[in-house]
Parts: sequence; structure tokens; C-alpha cells
Amino acid sequence: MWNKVSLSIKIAGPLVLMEILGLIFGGFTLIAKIEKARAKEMDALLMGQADLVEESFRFSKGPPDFNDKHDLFGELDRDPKIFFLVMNDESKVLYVSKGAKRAVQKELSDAVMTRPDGTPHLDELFDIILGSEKWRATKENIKYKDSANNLTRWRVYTAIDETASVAELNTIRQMILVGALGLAILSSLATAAIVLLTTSNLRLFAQSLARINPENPVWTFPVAAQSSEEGLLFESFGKMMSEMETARQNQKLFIANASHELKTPVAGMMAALEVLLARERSSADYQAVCRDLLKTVKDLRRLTGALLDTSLIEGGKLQPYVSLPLNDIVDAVLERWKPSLKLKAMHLKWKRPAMVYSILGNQELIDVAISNLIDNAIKYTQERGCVEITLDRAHDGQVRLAIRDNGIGMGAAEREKLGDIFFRADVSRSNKDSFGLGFANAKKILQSHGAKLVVNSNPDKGTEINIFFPSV
Amino acid sequence: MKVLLIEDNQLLGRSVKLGLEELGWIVDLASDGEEGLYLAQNSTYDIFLIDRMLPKLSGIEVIRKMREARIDGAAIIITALGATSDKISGLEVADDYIVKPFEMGELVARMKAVYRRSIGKSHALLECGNLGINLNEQSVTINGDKLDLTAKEFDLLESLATRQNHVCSRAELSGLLYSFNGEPESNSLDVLLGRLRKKLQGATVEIVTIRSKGFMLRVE
Repeated sequence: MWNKVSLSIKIAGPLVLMEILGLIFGGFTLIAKIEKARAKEMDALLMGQADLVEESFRFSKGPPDFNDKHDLFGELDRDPKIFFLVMNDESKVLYVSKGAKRAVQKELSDAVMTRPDGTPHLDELFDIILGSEKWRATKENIKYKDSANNLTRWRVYTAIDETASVAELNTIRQMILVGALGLAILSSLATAAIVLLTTSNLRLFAQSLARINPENPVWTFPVAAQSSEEGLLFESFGKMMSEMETARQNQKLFIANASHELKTPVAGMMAALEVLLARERSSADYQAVCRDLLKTVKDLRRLTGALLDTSLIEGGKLQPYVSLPLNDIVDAVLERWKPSLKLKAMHLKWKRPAMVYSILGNQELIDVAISNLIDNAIKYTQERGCVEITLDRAHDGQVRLAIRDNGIGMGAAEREKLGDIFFRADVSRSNKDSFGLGFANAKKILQSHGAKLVVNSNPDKGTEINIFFPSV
Repeated sequence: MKVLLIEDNQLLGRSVKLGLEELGWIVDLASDGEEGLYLAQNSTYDIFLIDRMLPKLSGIEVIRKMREARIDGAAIIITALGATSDKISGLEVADDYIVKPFEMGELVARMKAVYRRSIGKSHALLECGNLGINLNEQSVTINGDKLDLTAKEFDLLESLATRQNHVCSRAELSGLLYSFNGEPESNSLDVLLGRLRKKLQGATVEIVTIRSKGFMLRVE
């Protein structure tokens, strides 16, 4: 399920969620801080008012002149946002301020003295809720000596109206919440836009992959990378496509060449037989066609053998490597090629070294590789030519097998193509006995054994192939 | 009919050449693309039978270069590549495409069909006046009566009949009647023309000599 979710959602989702959570946390923290500051401020204000009331009593050494409307006490008494109540030792209410609305004066008088359940307030500071109004209250005990020097105890309850302050706080809270919500929406949109923009090339890339035709896998993507990662992805994919295309073209060329090499002799045999059987012929004609057919069948047998070698090597079936004495392998291969050398009256130079040079490898494959190279040396050398084989140790300790001939040799262009399967078929099929598979197979086998091939060749001067095997 | 066969496989080339020659056709065989192009440029052919994968110059390139050089004649590609994409690319330059291995009968039938198309005929019977020329059977009739012609006389009549109202030069006619290496004696074409003119008495066609230019078959 998770795997099917779009990458944009996977990136944008957690980011947006984190942004919203951050904004919620920030908003609530801000509101809490503001609330705390406001409460502190209200409490400080309340305590200040309470102190003023207390000081008025202390200053007057008794209840002040309630009728003097011009002094500080008078101002407090008339303030609608302030309420205070003075009570003596016997809990007799001595004075109730007149500033608060009449409607709430009675309720405030009751509420400052006791909690709604009738028990006294335990805290020094407490809240009073009266309908939609909210008041903050405190109680103070006053001790002082009156003018007759008697110790008098009074209790003063003071409350201030914080309804407006609470309303303002609510407005601030709403503003913060709306702001946070707006910011969350904006940041979410911005995050989504950035993620969509960042991943847009990936979507185009995926679409371009979907458009690749398996029959003709050409990948075109004319979009500039927006990041180094994209650049690396596009470059790597382009490189892979290019390598695949090369491999595909090689495979196509191989199939085309193999089809040609296999089907053409069959077509030739069919045509020869059809023409031969179309009318009565002399026995010489029959014999001539039979000879042609036999040669063609032999060619086909060699070709299928070489193709089987190719598929065996291409298949990469790993055989266990064992220690192989190269001296013996070269002897065995040369024994098989002696009739061909004799047929062309060629001279063979091979002096088997006394020292045994061993390599690690698969005997069957190494035999095929050396045999193919000697076959080429014979094939591309004129009659009475010479093939020379030496086996020794190179300066760096590697085992060196050199196969030299004084045959037709190769130019630089041909040397470059040497090892390409069927390369001979591209330009010139001068040698009708060659399929262009021998060297390619030998090269693959030797390279898979860690050997290095060095080819020196010049037209009309001959070819020298040096094989350097890793020392055991 | 004269055919240029370009095929690098000796057995196939020789066998097809022999099979076609035994049908009475004249066949030149080239073993690589360059040799084939040289023959095409230096002789005249009715049909080109060209292997696709040739040494030196591919079959497709040979046909392209032939067309660039304004060499007419139907071209058939013979190839081992039988995929649809290969056939499509082959038919972009050639008139037909035959996949190896093929049967001689099919090859000959296709060559005849392509040849008919190239001369603008949908059937094998070519009519000129009261003359009926059957391209498949290589036979000729005058007013329905069979006319006895040698292979060369038939080739000459066919060459002129398929190019009606077109002046065929002496070199063009020689190119169509003889293989590239089988050069005729200097007066053999005149001898052949004389014999054919004689045999065509009673026909409503006439082989006309256009001075310094060549010959033409004219319906009276």
C-alpha cells in the first residue's frame, strides 16, 4: 500500500504535518504565555488596588470619609471596574463600594466572601464568574490601632472586573489561531508546490520510460536536470541505454550474420538439388554437385561447432579451473593441425621447452582458444609459409605463448575490429573458409582466464599473437 | 530475359545461375557488391537478383547506387533476414524480397511477376498488333498460329516488344541479348534481326531501323 503512494505525497505529507504541528504548538504556547502575562498583570493590578484600599483605611486609622468624593478612596469607590467590601471582626459588613453595577453588587458581596458552595475561599487570589462577567478577587486582613489606641481587625475583599481583558484575550487567541491556520495552509501549499516542482522531472522521466518501444528501445529525454541527483540519474540511465543499444545492435548483427551464414548454404544446397533434379544429367554433373554439397555440409559442421563454442563461452558456465601444463596442450593442438600444415606445405617451428609451464584454467576451453589461433595462422598464411610457436616466461613472471605467421597480416582498421564476432563478414569475405568466429571465441576464452592478448600485425608481413597468462 | 545475380555463396550463385539459364534466360553472376555494381553500370538487365549481405558493398547499397545512376530494371533482394522490419527496409529500395532458403519455383515465379510489373503488364501475354507474346511460356503466335522462334530470336522480340515506341540502341539490345562476358560477333545482331524480320512476315508489326540510333518495334 505504502509503496503505491506517490513520492510527492510521501515527501510533502510529513512536511505539511510537521508544519501544522509546529504551528499548533507555537500558537498554543504563545496563547499560554499571553494568558499568563495577562493574569500576572491583572493580579498585580488587583493587588495594587487592594493595597490602595488598605492604605486608605490605614491612613484614616479607621474607615475613611466615605462622603469625600474627591480623594483617592473616593475615586476607587466610584470606579465601576473595582469592587471592595470591608468587614469587621464580627463579620459585620462595614462598607461596600458603589462603583460596580447595582445588578452585580449583591452577587459580588456574596461571592467575595464565600465560594458558590458556601465555604470560604482558601486562596488569597480567586476568580468569580457572574454570568458573562469575570472578576478577580483577593482578601486582606488589616490590623491597626484606632485613634483610641485599640487594636482593630478588619477584612477587606477587593475585586476587579477582568471581563474586558478576557474578551481581549479571546480576540488575541482567535487571531493567533486564524493566523496559524492561514500560515499552515500557505506553508502546506508552498511545500506541495516545491515538492511537485522538485519531483516533476522524475514524473517526466518515468513517462519517457513508459514511451520506450521494446521493439526499438530509443530513449530521448530533452529535459535539463534540476539537481545533481537528477543529473546523475539521467546520465546513468542514458549510459545504460547506450550500452544496451550497443549490445542490442551487436546481437542484431550476430543474428543477421548467423542467419546469413546458416541459411545461405542451405539455400545453395536446395537450389543445387532442385536444378540438378529438374532434368536428366550426366553422372559427372551429379558427382560435381555431390562434391559441392559435401563441402557445404562440412562448412556447416564447422560453423555450427564454432557457434556452439560461442554459446558455451557466452553462457559463462563456470567450470572448475585446474592446473594445466601448456606444453602438453600445445602439443595436442598441433598434432590435430599437422595435416592442414602438410596440405599447404607449411613449415612449423615449435620447440617444446624442457620446463613445464602451467596455468590455471579449463582444459577444454584453453584447447579451443589455442586451436582457433593456430587455425587462423594456417588459414591466413600462403602455401609454403611458416608458423612459429614459442612458450616461455615473460620478464614479469607471466607465462607467454606466442603464435607467429608470415601470412597476409592485417591493417590497423582490421586489427581494431579483430575479436568482433563475424567482423570478417562486414567488409570482405576473402577467405571462404572463415566465419569470423575463431578469434572472437579465443579472445573471450583467454580473457575469461585472466590472460592478456597482444596482437602485432602488418599487411603482407604476418601476424604475431602474444598471450600472457597469469603465473600460477 | 537478362538477369544480374549478385551472390557471394558460390554454390547458391552457380546453382541459381544454371537453373535460370536452363529456363532460357541470360544470367550474369557477380560475387560481391562492387563487381555487381560494375556489371549493372556497364550492361543492361531486365531483373537484378541481389543478396542483401554482400562483401564490399551491401545489396541495399548496390540498389541505391544503381537507382542513383538511373539504372532501370526490377530488383529482388534475396536474404537470410526474414524479420518484418528487415523486409520493410528491403522493400523500401527493392521491388520484391525473398527469404533464404527458397525454392527455385518460387524464385522464378516472383521474378516473372516482378518483371511483368516492371513492364506495366498484369498478365503474361503481351499483344502487339496480331502478335501474341507469352512471357511465361516464351512462345509467340501470329493470329493465334504458333511462330517458331529460337531462344535468342524470342529474347530479341521480347526486348523490342516490352519497349514499344522506344528506340533501342544497338548496344542496349546487345546488352540484353548476351551475357557480359559472351561478346557477340560484330554482325550477329544484324543476322538475328534479319532472321526475326523474315519470321515476322505476316504480322502487323515491323522492326524499324532508325538511322544512327537503333531499332524499334512498330505496330502497323
